[in-house]
Amino acid sequence: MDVRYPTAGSSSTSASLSRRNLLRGALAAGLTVPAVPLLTACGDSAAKTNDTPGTLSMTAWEAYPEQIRERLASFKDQGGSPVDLSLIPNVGYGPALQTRLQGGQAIDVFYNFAYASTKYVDAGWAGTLNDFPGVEDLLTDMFPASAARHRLADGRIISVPYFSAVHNLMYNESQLKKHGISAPPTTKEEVYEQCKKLKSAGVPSPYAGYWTKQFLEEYFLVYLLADGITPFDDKGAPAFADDPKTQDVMEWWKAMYQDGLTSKDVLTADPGNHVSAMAQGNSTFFELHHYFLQIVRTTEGPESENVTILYRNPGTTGTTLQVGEVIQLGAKSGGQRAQDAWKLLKFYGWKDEAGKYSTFTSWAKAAALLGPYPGLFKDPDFLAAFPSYYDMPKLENTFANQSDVVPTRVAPWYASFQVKVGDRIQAMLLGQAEVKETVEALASDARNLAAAGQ
Amino acid sequence: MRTSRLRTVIVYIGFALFLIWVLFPLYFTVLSSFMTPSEIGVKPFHWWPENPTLANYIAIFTGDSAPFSTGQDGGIVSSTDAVARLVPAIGRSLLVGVAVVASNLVIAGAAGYAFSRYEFRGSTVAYLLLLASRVVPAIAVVLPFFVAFRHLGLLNTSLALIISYNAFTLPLAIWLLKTYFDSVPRELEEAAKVDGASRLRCLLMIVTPIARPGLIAAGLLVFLEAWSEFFYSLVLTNGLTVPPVVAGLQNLQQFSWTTLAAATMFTVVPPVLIALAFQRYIVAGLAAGSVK
Amino acid sequence: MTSTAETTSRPATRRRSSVRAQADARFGLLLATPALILVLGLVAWPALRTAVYSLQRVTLAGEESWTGLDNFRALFTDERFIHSLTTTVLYSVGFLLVSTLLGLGFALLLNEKFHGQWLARSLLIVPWACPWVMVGMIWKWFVDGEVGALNAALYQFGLIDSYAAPLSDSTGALVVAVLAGAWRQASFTGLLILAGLQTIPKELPQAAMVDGANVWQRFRHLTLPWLRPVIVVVVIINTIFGFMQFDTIWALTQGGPGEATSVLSIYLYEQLFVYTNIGLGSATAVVLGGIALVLGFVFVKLLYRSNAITEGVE
Repeated sequence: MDVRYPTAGSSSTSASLSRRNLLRGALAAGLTVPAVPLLTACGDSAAKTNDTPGTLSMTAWEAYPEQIRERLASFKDQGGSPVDLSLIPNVGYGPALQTRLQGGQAIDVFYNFAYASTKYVDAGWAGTLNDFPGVEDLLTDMFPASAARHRLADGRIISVPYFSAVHNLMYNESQLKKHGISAPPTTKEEVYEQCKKLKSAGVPSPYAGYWTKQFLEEYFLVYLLADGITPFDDKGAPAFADDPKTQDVMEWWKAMYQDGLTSKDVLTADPGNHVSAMAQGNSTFFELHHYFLQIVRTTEGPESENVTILYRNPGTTGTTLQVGEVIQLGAKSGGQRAQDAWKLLKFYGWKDEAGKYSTFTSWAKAAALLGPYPGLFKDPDFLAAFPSYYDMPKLENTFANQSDVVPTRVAPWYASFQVKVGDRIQAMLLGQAEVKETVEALASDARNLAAAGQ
Repeated sequence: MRTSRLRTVIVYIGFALFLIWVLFPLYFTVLSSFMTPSEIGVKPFHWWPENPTLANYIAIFTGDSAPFSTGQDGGIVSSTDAVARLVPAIGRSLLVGVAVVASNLVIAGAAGYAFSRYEFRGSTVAYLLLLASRVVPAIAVVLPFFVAFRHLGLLNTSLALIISYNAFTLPLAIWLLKTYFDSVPRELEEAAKVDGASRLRCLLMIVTPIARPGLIAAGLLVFLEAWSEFFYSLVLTNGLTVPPVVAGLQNLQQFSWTTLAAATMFTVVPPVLIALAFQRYIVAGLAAGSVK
Repeated sequence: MTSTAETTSRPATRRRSSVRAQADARFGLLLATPALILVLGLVAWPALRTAVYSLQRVTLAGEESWTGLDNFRALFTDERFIHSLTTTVLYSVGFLLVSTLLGLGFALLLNEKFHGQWLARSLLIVPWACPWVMVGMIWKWFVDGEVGALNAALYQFGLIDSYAAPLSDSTGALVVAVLAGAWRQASFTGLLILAGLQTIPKELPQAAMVDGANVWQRFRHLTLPWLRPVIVVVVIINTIFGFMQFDTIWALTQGGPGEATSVLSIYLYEQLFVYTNIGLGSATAVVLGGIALVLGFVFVKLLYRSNAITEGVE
């Protein structure tokens, strides 16, 4: 082959010089990057605190970003520090936050899932709040039961509330009437019977619930609580296993799934599926956080106007689960900086400088979220911001008297237990495990995980 | 000829099955993106939208996250600005992808050429070690990456992603390019050297142009891996690139599949177009790698 | 055509050629250095740390203590891990078979001449261009029990009596996970094999035609031996991709229902980010990477042997 190639002016010295320079440059560039982890990856978490006041850093998951920014601007207007906000998409917030804190990043204030909050304090990533001014007032202002999410049994105060919600049964009133059902169910048996009736009348999947792996644990507690079963005792031991009623609840649950009263996709479907099933009239009942009523109501569909909420969950006692996520203070903030961050926590999780629940009012307007403060239900601004189709006295009653936060849910091992519940109960619903063995296995999971501490 | 008619029948049946396999899931996604949530749930299924709507796409451009809300009580306040971030994310994904490809081809090209032509002490071990690093599970090593970029002040920047994606795509690119260089005849380089050209000059002026199909194939492979990456983008940045932004939409309550489908199109169309643009080089580029 | 290197270096003296060989080696090392530093520094070093962690108990606060093989003992006595391991094997065997066979079929098809060949070749690239996460999302809805088009099509052709929800069924979810992953990977496989097919010298099949070999005989005795190296490469890549698969399965089922699709990479994710057990998570990573490495090594051995065979034939 005779192919010409350019040779003009290629003096070998200059070529080799430029080559050497090029390679040296590449070498230097290549070296700097990996040298850093070599030098620094070890022993990074024991860094000191930052006491210097200034712009605070805050990390939140991405829900209602406009409101978050408005809140932070308002905080600054009221004399608070400026805040640098990092928003992480909801999916993967846990791993991202964990990696950042473990990797030594200083974050002054961050959203966290309640189930991770104690673990983060134990790991030295989040600080305790006991010594800050006004923290006792904040806790006394709460519904007494709700405070257990923020103050541990050993006295440590680990977080302030971001929002709270209660699990409720939403139902389509006119659909019930149309099929000759005069009143919504008061017990689980009635739920089953009504669903049977609706199913045979042609409603494709009468009962909707967010029964995916990650969320099943909430339903486990919701269904236990509604029949008066204590899930965990004061020490966090699995009391549900000693209550014979637990098996009945699980049998009911299994029957709901196996007898086809839910959608076939219920074990993997996102809440969006259920919302549109309610709006379209493909489902009549929907068990999930109270604020989903607002989402169903504002979703386009022939039935969305007819959906309302049952403030007492079907069951012998009708107690329900109160959920909520939290805000924590980064452990690396100290001195005046920590004081400034604490101000932000109070503003964001309680009251503003003027003593008003302005942050919760903002969430109420945006998303029908609640906070764990009885004062909210007497605050005219808050009540006005809440969507009109909620019966506020009834919601307050559910919140104050008919719901349980299940304090064990903030134990450091609880996140692991949630995974087990998801795996085991899905297997049970699919008929791969007996009810009895599932209950026993969950009890031993809880004991083992608690003993191992994670 | 009977056999040739039989061949024709088999080929066209195969072609039909191939079309169904490739296009059916995609057609469903495209179709959904032009439908309302109520139409997509209709039985019998509508294979063509009765009233095609652009609402899903408009929602993504305007940042209105609840295109099918009835708007009573003032409507839903946007629970996300992911939609507003999607378009910039596409730009950033492209930037990261192109930068990864450019740096990767230089680094992997040099290494692949070295392993093909200039053996050095331990070069076989080094080559195997590079290839073997492909089996390191990326999620298990995200923490050291994070620490490194924190110290370099690169968190939440495209550069963090460019460096990380290089680390994970280099093994495949080096393998592909080494095998490609192996197939390029050495005569030209030897002849050039006799004429006094330096080794580097040979590489840049003679080998690189000949190796263009191989470089393009490797480049596309690297680009698609970089465009696809999800976890590092989420952890090292606040989800700067497209996949975390779109995947994040799935968990939002008021997002129906139809809007999600429209968002999915934004993550699928750019790499598909790029792949199609370079399509004619791909087979030629992979050819050398495939017979060695 | 291969031995120019020897002929050009022949006139040089021993001394000069050894100087040149040294310079060549130095040049090779310099060229390979950036890649080595980047990959070894950023991946191999953390991988080594992971290996060390797998022999330790590590708290989130960063305290480390040596525990020997306790983590591995804990893993291999954990039902979920064993289940995960078998699921991974099932998944990757399925992924490997479906991707490779479909890819081979597509390549053979697209190597034929027919109307629409150009279109088919363009379309082959499309699934490969879709991000893994999106592949999971698209398939999740494609097989959905309420709105999924797959159900609609099967129903309208009378193949099923009512819509099915495969993702809520243990076997169904695994099958869909395999199909979704293979949907993308079969395209890449097809491209690689097609590339291999195109290097077959034109004379070979024609000579065989003259000899009166039928289609199957030509495939069996000409095409397949020629493709053997590329198939080994494809098998290595598909095995490793199958073993390491995370994004698609996560978007599709998050490992469910129950533990039906909880492959090792998902188990690893849970150990690191839910159980936050860094020791066990690292041990899982070591097992996962180790298996993939061993399989890759075995296949590389096969590759060298297959090369020897084809060279022997020629």
